[in-house]
Amino acid sequence: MNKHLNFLATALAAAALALAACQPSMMNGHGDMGDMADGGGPNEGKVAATVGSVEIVDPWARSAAMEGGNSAIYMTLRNTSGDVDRLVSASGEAATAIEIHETKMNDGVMQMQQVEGGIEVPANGSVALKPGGYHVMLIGLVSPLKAGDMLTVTLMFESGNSVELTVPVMDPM
Amino acid sequence: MQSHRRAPLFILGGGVLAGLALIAALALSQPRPYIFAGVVQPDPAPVEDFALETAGGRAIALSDLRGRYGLIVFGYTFCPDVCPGTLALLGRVLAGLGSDRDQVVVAFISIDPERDTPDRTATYATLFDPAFIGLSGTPAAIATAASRFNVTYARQEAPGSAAGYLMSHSAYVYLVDPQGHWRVSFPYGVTDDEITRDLQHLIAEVR
Repeated sequence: MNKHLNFLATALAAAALALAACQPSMMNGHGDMGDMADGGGPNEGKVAATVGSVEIVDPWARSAAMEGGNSAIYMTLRNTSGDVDRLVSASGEAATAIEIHETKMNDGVMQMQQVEGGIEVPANGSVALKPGGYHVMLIGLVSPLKAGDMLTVTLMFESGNSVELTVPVMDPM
Repeated sequence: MQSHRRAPLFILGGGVLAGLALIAALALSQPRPYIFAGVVQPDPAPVEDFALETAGGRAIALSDLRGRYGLIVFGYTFCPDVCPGTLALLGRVLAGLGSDRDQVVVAFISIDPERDTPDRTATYATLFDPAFIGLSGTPAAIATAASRFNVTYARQEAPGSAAGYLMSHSAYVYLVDPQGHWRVSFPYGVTDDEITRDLQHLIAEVR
């Protein structure tokens, strides 16, 4: 009897698998902005610099070939302390102006704005600057950014700490 | 006692198995409808023509793209984040199509004529792929083009920013077929592979 039950269970499982294979498998939601480049979990990514209790993980700048054009720097900010901090401003020689901006999507309409009061790095948490979301905006590039180039940017935090960061230029994937 | 219980169970088990096998066979024999990654237009209709300008002020109409699939995207060259991301993505779509890339044309339409001359827009677009067409024009001509795809856009003052002003705009990519019918809209976040696959499906359909 056990044998028959086993056989039946196997057959049922096989049938279920066959049915599952017929289901459309491409119903992936395109959801919101979160899908493009992930901020990573608590221990993912490479720490490029530490400023106060904030780790700067995997910073990169978007390549931009246009003479005098604009671009953006992305990274994950990870807070190892119980105190909230904020990325309040950025400066550097790579562009005429460097500002903290945010892209928002409302019903498929993309809107960008300067972030008032900086980007919060939650206590014992992290925040991702990523395509379609928060970014450090480079306005008026002094020279075009090619993948493989490096640029330097100084990030200032509410805690009073600041850091000069070397950022690799990449072609976005 | 045992053998009495065994027989009905065996018959029941066999019956269930046969039924499941039948269901599985039926499900497998149905042609699977292709599921687009993009949003399919329920009633594809011809897009009413419009004309804009590219490098050197040369006029290009939507109807000039006939005979090829058109991927139409609206944006502006000042945009640091979403627009360059989308254009880089469309460059990878063309690359992913291999020898079929000639059947597809990418047009980038500026909704920021104040900053984006036809020359500047064309230069910007070709930096992502030499085959891309960058288009701009008078505010009225751009408004007409945008209305064809229900694109909304607006100027937003950015008083505390060196940007001066920014533009909000619909961030879809619109697919127009070789007959000039709007077929699919790709929302922001669709991958290059997904767009490539949808195009390959459409191209294979007419072969």
